[in-house]
Amino acid sequence: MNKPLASLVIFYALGIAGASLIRLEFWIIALTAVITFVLATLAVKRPPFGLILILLLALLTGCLNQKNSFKLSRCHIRNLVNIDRNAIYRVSGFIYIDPESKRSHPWYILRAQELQANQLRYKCCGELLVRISFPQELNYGDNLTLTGKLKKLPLSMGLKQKGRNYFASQGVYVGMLIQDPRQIRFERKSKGLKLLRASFRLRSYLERIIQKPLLPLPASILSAMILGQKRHLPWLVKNYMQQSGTVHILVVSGFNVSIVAFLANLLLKILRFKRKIRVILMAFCLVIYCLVTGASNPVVRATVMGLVFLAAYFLKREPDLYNSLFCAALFILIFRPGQLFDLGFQLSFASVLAIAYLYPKFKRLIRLEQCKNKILKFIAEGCLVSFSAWLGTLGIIAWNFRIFTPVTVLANMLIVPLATLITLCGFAMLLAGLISPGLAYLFSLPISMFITLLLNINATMVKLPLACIYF
Amino acid sequence: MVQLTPEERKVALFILSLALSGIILNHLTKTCCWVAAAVYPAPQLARLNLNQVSLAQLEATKCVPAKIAQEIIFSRDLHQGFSGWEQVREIKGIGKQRFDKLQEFFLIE
Repeated sequence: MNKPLASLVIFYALGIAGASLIRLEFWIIALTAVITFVLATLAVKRPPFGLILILLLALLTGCLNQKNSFKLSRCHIRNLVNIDRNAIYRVSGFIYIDPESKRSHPWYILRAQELQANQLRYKCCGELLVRISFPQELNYGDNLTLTGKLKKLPLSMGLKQKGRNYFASQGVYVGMLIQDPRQIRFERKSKGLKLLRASFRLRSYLERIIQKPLLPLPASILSAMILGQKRHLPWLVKNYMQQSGTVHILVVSGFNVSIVAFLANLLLKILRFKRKIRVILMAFCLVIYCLVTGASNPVVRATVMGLVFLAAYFLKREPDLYNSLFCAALFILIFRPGQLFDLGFQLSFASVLAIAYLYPKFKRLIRLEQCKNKILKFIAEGCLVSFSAWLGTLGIIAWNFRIFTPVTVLANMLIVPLATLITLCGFAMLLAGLISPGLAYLFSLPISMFITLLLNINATMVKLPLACIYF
Repeated sequence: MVQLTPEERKVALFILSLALSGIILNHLTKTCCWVAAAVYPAPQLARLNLNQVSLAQLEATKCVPAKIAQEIIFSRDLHQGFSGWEQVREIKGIGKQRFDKLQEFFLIE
């Protein structure tokens, strides 16, 4: 492989995956890594040995990072929780991630700062999953004191782990259930980053713009497609989309990020900004959009890729798709190695990698360049992109959901162009809504029509014989 | 004299076409029922009909336990199809939370 970053990241990821299989202690692996480093430094000018040792070092680094993520600091809240299940704790901290809601019951992650047990107070760190069994309005940065029982969540994750452990991959190992409003006490000062707080406020405002002119069903779909908010999305819609293999359109991805970059570029161009300033402002817009949509794995991937492309443009270098993709993977895996086991991460990278690798090969195979009919060529390109992405994610979907969806390619051929149009119209509606609600209402009618059409096509696709096979 | 780049022209064209189609659709929804049906999604696209749902489908939604799902199907057959939500509410084991969940997932037609 002649992509240096790609091979390093692959070996680094292999190290993370292998960490759960290797029973060796952290320090033994660390010692091996140090020896490998010394040998690699000595053999750096000898191509085969030097290269092998560097790749081995990347593998060991991944393994070490994963092992290190399991090791919690002494003051981590999980280490302070007693074995006694009935013990009552008082935890102070602030809401670290914008609260999510499932059927009007919110859950959120609290960054714990102080723990009180048996009238003893401890300074603590780490994140706490809080589930609330009644409707409650909460925001990022709210400073709270919670009283209740703490429950240890599974610590391990990896290849050995049966089933998916979402919260472990997010670094959350303790949970609390709140059943009574009296268990929550609001403190005066709110904490957290101001930029994040502003981003979440902007998201709420944008959600209101979407919800005002549209009916609840199209509004929930548009919110998922543009802002990554799936709180109000009906179960049936999600289920049908999973069965037709088109659920990816409900996720904010690279396409949305590219639209934001394009719109920002266009606006700044009209305002006659200089090229370098334009690039910096575009990068800022991408970061804000990433925060607004909740910084999920696909958005972080697309944002980092976008930033790498912008940096290449800024430095007048040739951008490389593979290097930017693997740079994004490295960026995510360095901070949270457990994300390698997150399904969103796997699907996002597998689909982009498959499109980048397989699509040009298929294109050459069927000699698409020689086709002179533009419409036919456009349709064929769309089919090939869908087919490549489907092939790339086939194994992961079959393994995790026990489902095989032959209808995916056909469904994507029809639904992806429609979803693209809806996304474009949605962004236009958002911008119009910022200017005038009346204008947003005008734009909302075609969007509602396209969404109705999309839902009807999807429902038809699912009803086709052998559309999806469960095994 | 206003000068637009090809990119700007495309965006302007897109926005204008969107506004134009919005105006036309708004007019048509006021006059033709079938256009309104094409613009606004039917509730059946987001929720299942409780009078037509099978036991397996009801269990797949995971909004009620298997035993209560059987009770619902039994009660439906007894009533020869539910005529309203009150009949569902009367089923043993369906409290407020489960009733809310059922209303979110299903419709009665």
